[in-house]
Amino acid sequence: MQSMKETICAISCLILFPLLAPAQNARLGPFDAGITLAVGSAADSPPRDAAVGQLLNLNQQPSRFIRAFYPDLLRESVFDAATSAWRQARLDQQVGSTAMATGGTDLVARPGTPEFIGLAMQFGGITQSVSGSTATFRGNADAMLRSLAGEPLTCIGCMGTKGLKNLNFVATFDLSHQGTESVTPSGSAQATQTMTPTAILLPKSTRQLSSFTASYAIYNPKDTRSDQYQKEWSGWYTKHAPELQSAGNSLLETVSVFLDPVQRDKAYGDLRAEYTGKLDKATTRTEFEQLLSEYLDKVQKIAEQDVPQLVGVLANAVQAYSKYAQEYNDLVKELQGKPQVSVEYTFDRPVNQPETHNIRGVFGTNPFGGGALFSLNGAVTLYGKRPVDANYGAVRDAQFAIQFDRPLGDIVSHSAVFSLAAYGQYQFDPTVIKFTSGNLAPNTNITLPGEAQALLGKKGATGIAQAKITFKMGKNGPEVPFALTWATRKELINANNSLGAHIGLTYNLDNLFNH
Amino acid sequence: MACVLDHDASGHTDFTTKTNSTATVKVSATGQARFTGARLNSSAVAIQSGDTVIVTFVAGLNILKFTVAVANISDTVVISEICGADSQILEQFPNDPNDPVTGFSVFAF
Repeated sequence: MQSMKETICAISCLILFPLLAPAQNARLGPFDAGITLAVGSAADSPPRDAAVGQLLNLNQQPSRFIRAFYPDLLRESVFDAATSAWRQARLDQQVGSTAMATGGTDLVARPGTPEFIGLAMQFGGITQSVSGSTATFRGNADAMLRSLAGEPLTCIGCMGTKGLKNLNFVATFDLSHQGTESVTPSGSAQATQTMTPTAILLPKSTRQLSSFTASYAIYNPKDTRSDQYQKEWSGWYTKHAPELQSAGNSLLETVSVFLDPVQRDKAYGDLRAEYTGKLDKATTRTEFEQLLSEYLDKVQKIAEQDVPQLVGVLANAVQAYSKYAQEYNDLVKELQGKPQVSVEYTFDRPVNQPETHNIRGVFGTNPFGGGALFSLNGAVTLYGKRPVDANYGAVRDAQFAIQFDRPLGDIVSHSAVFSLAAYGQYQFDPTVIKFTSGNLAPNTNITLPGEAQALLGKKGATGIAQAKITFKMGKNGPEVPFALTWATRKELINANNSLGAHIGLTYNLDNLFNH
Repeated sequence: MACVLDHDASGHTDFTTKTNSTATVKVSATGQARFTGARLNSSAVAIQSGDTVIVTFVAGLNILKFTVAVANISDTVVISEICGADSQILEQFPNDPNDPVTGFSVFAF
């Protein structure tokens, strides 16, 4: 029950975290980053002057002014096609655990990873009969080191450190299974008690690291920091330069109808000079925001006076933005087809089972273009330490898996992803179960003096099929996967044709730090 | 080659320059960056090598606008005037994937 409460708390935090951003004046929202930059620098300093200049400059991202003047005319949804289109269209990022003993929802590992941090809570059990819940923390080595060094989180957009940027670490914590630990009592608590047990089994919390994964992206042209992506992007620009420049010039021509008359009005020049001086000297954020709000009011009045049919002109500008954004969909579609290759190593220590080492190769591709993704996995699992007289071999199993992911809806703005997966595993021996010292030997009253192992289930092939729908909770919110899994058998018990349901909650923090 | 654009200390415009002066303006970022459109006053300007424009300012107010595309949406966009060893940064700002338009006003006298 305690574990359930903690799990619910963790889920709530994951959902609410993106909603906890500081409240701001809605009208000044588009200017928030600029305001923060300006008030973060000393009054009357060159950095303040530069930040103020960019805030007041009508030519600098003029959609900020359109939103401030007429919020209903230019809602954020207009820009969905352009806003983080590349990130929204990516299906290849693996956030949850790929260690499948308990508590996983992912049958197949995808080839990409978050560029900063990913978090996941998952419930269910895929290959084994015991269901569980896990919490997974996934982090990029380069981004974590930069963060620890005190560099800004927005540096996630920088090019990263060669080698480190391709390296990811994953820690998975088993939240549900309780083990036991044998301890030796230090003595009797009662003087009259003559018999003291030699060993006592105490409940042992397993809310600790249950698996650790290191993955390395060998070839990942979907990572915007990679040389491959930059090269592909450059090739895309060269290929589409005429269309892009046509759309760009059309956009500039359209916004000029609004921007140029205002800037050519002497009153605007005087206003800008006046508020440059005032904002340079503002000492508090409140004062700064009040002055900026006044400036926007006055610019809007000048625009309404100087631009005939201003609302219609701005509506045309919105359409031009949309047309420009459409060109970017070509980029998304073209780069989606590029293959990705990664390898990962997982050290797994499932409850009451021997430790294992898993080596997995992951290949992702989309030979047909569009937004879909095919992921292929090949893996082998080796036992860690084995008793010298073990009745089982060093190789636990070999795995092969394939998954097809397809966005439901638009390639960029889809609200869900449908996945079909198939997984095959050949287990070379029955599953090994560990008995800690203090347990009774099977069918006896004899207390085991030390750790013992037993074989459960049977060796052989296991086939698993999975259908999954992953819902995206908003553009930058968490994702909720629901999966139904059918397995030919389970590892621990002789249960054939078992059907299981799985649910999870994953959050890619890249979304939080990238608009 | 000296730079021709000076910061406008009066705050009326972004820069000042002399009439008929010519500036070479380039876009860059940590990753790939390109101009996808350029416009001076009421005319489109040719883009050279994808990232450079050369413009001549007429007397009075000049309005120079660009659309910018960067490979990495979180990159920092830098608009510079290229003037040999004395090149200067005109604008530097985090890319906003919502809006590719940028630019500045120049008063030539």
